[in-house]
Parts: sequence; structure tokens; C-alpha cells
Amino acid sequence: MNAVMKKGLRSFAIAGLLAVGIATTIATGGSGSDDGFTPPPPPPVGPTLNITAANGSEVASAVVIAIGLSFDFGDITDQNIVARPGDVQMLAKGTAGFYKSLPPGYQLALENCANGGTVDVTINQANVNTITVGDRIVAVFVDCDDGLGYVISGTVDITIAAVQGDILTNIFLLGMDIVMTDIVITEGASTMTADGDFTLTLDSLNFPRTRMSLSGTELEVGSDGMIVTLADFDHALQLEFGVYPGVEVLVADVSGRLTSSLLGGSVDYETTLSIEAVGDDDPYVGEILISGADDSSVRIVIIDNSHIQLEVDEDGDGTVDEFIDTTWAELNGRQTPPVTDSTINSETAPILAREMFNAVTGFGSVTITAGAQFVPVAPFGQIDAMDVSGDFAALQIPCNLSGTATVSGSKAVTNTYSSGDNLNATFDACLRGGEKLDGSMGVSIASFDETPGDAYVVSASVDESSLRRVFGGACFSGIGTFETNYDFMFTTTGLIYANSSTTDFNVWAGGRSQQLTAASVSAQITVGQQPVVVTRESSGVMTSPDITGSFSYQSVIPDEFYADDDGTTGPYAGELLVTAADNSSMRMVAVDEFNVRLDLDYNGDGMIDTSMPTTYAALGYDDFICQ
Amino acid sequence: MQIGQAAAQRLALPGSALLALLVGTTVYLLDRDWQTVQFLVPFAALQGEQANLFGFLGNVLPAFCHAYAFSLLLILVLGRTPRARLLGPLAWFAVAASLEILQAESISSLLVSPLVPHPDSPVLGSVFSYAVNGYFDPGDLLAAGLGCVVALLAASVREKKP
Repeated sequence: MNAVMKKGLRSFAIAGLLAVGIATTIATGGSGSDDGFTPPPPPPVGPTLNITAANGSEVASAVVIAIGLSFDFGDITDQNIVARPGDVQMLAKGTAGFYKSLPPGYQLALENCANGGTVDVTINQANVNTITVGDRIVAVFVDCDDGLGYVISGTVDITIAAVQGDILTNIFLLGMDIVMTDIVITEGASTMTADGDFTLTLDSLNFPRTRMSLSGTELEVGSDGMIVTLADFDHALQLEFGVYPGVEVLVADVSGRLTSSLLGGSVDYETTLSIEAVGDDDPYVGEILISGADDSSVRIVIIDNSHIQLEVDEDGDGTVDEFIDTTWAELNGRQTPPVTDSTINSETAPILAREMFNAVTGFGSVTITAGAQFVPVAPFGQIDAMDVSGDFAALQIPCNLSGTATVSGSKAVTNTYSSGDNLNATFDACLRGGEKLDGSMGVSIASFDETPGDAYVVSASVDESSLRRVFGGACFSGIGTFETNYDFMFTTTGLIYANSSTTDFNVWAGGRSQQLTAASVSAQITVGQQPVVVTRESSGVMTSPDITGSFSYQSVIPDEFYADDDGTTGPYAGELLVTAADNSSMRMVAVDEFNVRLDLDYNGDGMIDTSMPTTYAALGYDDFICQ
Repeated sequence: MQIGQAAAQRLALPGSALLALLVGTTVYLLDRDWQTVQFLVPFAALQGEQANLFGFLGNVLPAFCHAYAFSLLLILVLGRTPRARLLGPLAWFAVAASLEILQAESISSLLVSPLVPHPDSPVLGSVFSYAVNGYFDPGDLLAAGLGCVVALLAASVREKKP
């Protein structure tokens, strides 16, 4: 072997040795303790959607809707799984029963739901006497309507992950790993869908403070055509009773990632200030920061329970590039029909103001009466106290001052109402307190809670085919359907919290009619003292034969007025913003209980072009004084 | 008999290098979490309880053994000359020190972190992972240096024997 070849082989051997040495060093991770190889983490993938002024509202809306949907599915699971004394609900009914009596691995027979459809339930439980971690409930719903206000289809697979306390009381903690497959929930005209899994924890160990938390790695939720995927989400909702009489205070904290093919990418979201709400109202405080690609962002700043400001930072430099004013109704996707063919000027304003005043006052009047029929002296309240159950034929109920109400329907149990009960009433000059009713009303109860001798809370769907209500000297008639919640508190002074919403409703007064779409009204009423004070907020879209086009309206400052006025006065405080299709607007600013000022903005630039002082009487309030 | 002794003497250095590699491998097999050792990750599911046989020595023993073995093997390839006995350990220490320093955060972030992982290239992917996921340990550097010195001494002692 010559020297050159020897040298070559040596060089080759040296190179090979170094290569093997380096390779083994890397393969072992460098020898030291704990500094070795860790499987390389996937490169961090940030949100992919650029947030701009153009899509800021859409992005914020998608996040708000998705968060709301996640809590809806938590609520629905809660309603269907957790039993509380007196509840008669699908799995809850089973829970109260089957956990007390059925052997392990029992499959319930296919059950008919109260108002149609079926539910097929399979249960695997370790101990027939209680819920145990590892117990599994699989429910297959097919168009199941149990009178809870929605129809559900699909499969819910629940494995109990944590249990503390007794779920048959108010004090318990229940953790559930839930898989939802092809869930479709239809509620009125709305459809919600869910596919995926999440962990739901219901914690009421510190009752009356309760906490619902949902977390998961991937959950696809949809609402009315919008489908988004939530990833690595953690949503918590705390509810507390007793802070304000009769209502719960809600505090929500959320974080996660939302991906939407419709939006074209993903965004991260996180509450930077806890979101707080009272009762059924929209939240009144809180902030959610939504981050997109390249540090773009939109911050949802909740101004009050109607208004929201979106702060869009397109380039991620920390400076807000665009402020967008919006409302909860818009962000929640509550479909507001387009406002069309309308304008506001000094000629149309007086007519519009009269129509708006009729519409807002009338809608509040004819809707609030549904919940009021459940007080003990009212017709539904009287039936509540009777030993009536099952389907019952027409019962003639004397109204406590004069007139009658003829009521028929179905009632699951005696001496109280429950979900799925139906009542159909025909009023004949039924006089009770300051209210006189004529016409008919159908009520389908979604929930009813009552503490005997104290308060009641009712939620219901109401159909007023034609109901005429006289109250405080004013006459209104209502035709249409609406959803209502009515919470009557018997506290020292007495409080009523009520809200109603409709997709389509007609209000009649003094021979005039207004058509309301996507309308809602909420009110707080102090009773038991004189004068009775009502605080009211309204929103919706109105059309009237007396004026061209449609107009949106929204309370900027809640109306305050005396409920038992004589029909010649109106709110002494409050402000209603009415907007036309061309962005011209009118603010109806209450001056006192006799006077109101109309501030007109002809071109939508935010500047008042004309102020028109007027009176409620001049607005045609006389029209709905009873003839 | 003399032939057997001569063979044993000739195989003493490469044998000790192999023994060192075996000891280092044993540390990985018995004392380390296989999830953190790249060549053992595919078998991580098979790992039983960590024995911790080598105690605190297990932290630096692989670096020492590895440096000792490769320094010695380099000396053997370079030839049994005084120059080779010095060059082999020095060359390996340079390599070992470079690789250890590559794990220092300031260096790895400068050199490697800006590069994306290479899922299509196992070699580049491994280098990326080694640099980014490991961390600089002066103890390893010291152990490697010690291994190189011991290899130099062992080779020198062996060469001085008749």
C-alpha cells in the first residue's frame, strides 16, 4: 500500500470518525442531563386572519356569537342532565329516577318527548344509587321537543368526570366530558349546530354563586348558516343571585381561537376585562381583545347594555386606526331587517314621532300583560292554585274586579306550572287592578319557578291573535307572537323585571297600526308604591302605513315614566334614537312628562340640524286614549 | 503466550474506547427519560422505570465517555505518534465544545432559531432540534475536556509501556 493511499484511507477514517462522533452527540442530545432531545414543537402558528376596519365588525360578531353559542350548549346540557327537585325534563327526569333505581348498563326504552320527537337513552353507571365518576349517559335525540323552547336532534355522549355534593340539591359540582355529534337545535326561526367535544363543569358549591365552565380543544358550532371552530377554548360564566333583587349577575371570562372559513382565517380572543351582565340583559361592561395576523386586532369595548365600540388596529402598532360604533343586536347577529326607503326631515318627523311613540308604548303594554296573568289574583294565577292537571277544558275564571277569562289547556302537575304547559285564554272585559283585557292569548310555558307566597318567574312563548289592553287610560291592541320573560319579585317595594322580543308584531292604537320586526322591549317596574315607575328600553324596526319606508329605533337612554298616567303624558326621562335608510335620524328626548324634544340630523353626520320641541299630546297621544 | 499478551496490549486502547461508549449508552438506557433522547424516542413506550443507577455521575458521564472514546479512536487513526496523541484529543474537544456551545441560547437563537424546522430533512431537523431544545451545560464541557485529557494520558501511558 503506497503512502498516498495510506494517507487517503487515514483521512477517510478521520472524517468518518468525526461524522459518527458528531452524529452520536446530536442523537443523544448533547449528553448532559435533561438537555437532550425533545421532539421539536410544531412551529407556533399564530392567527391567520388580518383584521381590518372592513372586517372588524364581522370578526367581532363571529366571536361574540360563538361565545354565546358555547354557553347555550352548556346551558342545554345543564337543563337536560342536572336534576333539581320538581324539574321534569328529559334526562333530568331520568337522572332523578334512573340513578335511584336502574341497574348498571340499563338502556331506557325509546321515549317520546313531551311535544313530539323521541329520545333514546343508554346509561352505564357504577352505582345505582348515585352518580359516580366514569358513569356514562348517551342520548340520541330525534326532533325532540320537550317544551323547553327548542327542538333538538343528534347525539350527546356524556361521561361524568367529577362529582361533589348532591346534584339533587342546589349545592354540587358536576364535571362532564361531553361529545356532541350532529347536534341541531331549532329555536323558533333560529338553528344552532354543534360537533365536537368539550368539558363542562357546573359548580354551585358556593351557591347562590354558581359557575359554568367549558373548555376543549376543538368544537365546531354554527348558527343560522355561520359555522366556526373554536380551538383551545376556555369559557367561564359565573352567576350570582342576591346582588340585585330578583336577577342574577353574570360574569364571563373567555379565551380561545376561532377559525371561520367564511371570515377566511383564524383569530385569537381573550377577555381583558371581565364581561358583566344583569339578568337577561346584554352585558354592560367588559372588553374582549381579538388578535389577528401580523398583530392586527379589534378590541370589543362594551359601553353599556346596548352599545359597543370596536377599536380596530390594522397594523399592530398599538394605535387605534378605526373606531366602529355598533350595538349588541348587530354583534349578536340578531337579524335587523334592512331599513329602506325612508328619510327624516322636519316634515316627516312629527308623523314619525307619533308612530314611534304608539309603537313603543303599545308593544310594551300588550306584551308585559302576558307574564302579569300569573299573579295569584289573575286568571292564570287562579288556575295555578287549583287542583288542575292534564288537559283541561274551558274553565271560566272570574276576574277579580269584573269580567271573566275563559281558560283551557294542559298542565303537567297541580298547584304549579312547568315546562310544556299550555294555556289558552279568552278575556271578556276582564278587569284587574288598572288593567282591562279583551280578546285572546295563547301561552306556551318554557319554564316556571315559584316560591309559594313569594316570587315567580315565567318564560313563555305567547301568541296574541288579537288582544286589547286598556291600562292607565291608554288602549292598545296587539297581534302576533313573542317570547317573554317575567320576573315578579315580592320584596319590600315589589319589583318586576320583564322583557319580550318578537320577529313580527302588529300594534294598534286609535285606528292606527305599526308593524314591528326584530323588536324587543325590556322593563323594570317598581310596584307597591305610588306612583308606579317604569324604566323601559326598546329596539326594533318599524313600518307604518302613515309614513314611507322603515325606521330602526333604539333606546339611547332608557325611558322612565309613570305607569298609571291618565293617557296624556309620556316619559319624563329617556331618549329614543330613530334612524332612516338614508342615515338621517331623530332623537326623541324626553323633557318632562308632558314635553318631548325632537332632535333631527338630516344627513347622519352626528350634528343636530333642527330641534323641534313638542308635547306628547301633540304627537297624537290622544289617539290611543280609550274612546 | 507472548502473542496473546501483545494482542491484548494492542487492543487495550480501542477496547477501553468501546467500553466507554457502552457505559455512556448504559446511562442513556437506564437513567434517562427516553422521550428526551432522540435515538430512543421511537422506543419510549417500551421504557420501564428509570433506574438512576449512576446517580449524579449520570449527568456528565456520557459526555466524558464520549469524549474519551472518540479522542482515543482519533489518536489510533492518526497514528501512535506524540503529535497524534495531542492532535486527536484537541480535535475532538474542538468538535465537542462547538456542539455544546451551539446549544447556548444566545448562539442557537442567532444561528438556528431563525431557521424553520426541516420536516423533509431528518439531518437538518435533528440539528435544529439539538440546538433549539438542548441547553448549554458547562458541566458537559468540563466532562468532555476531562475525557479528552484522560484519553491523552491513557494513550501516552500505553505507548510508554514496553
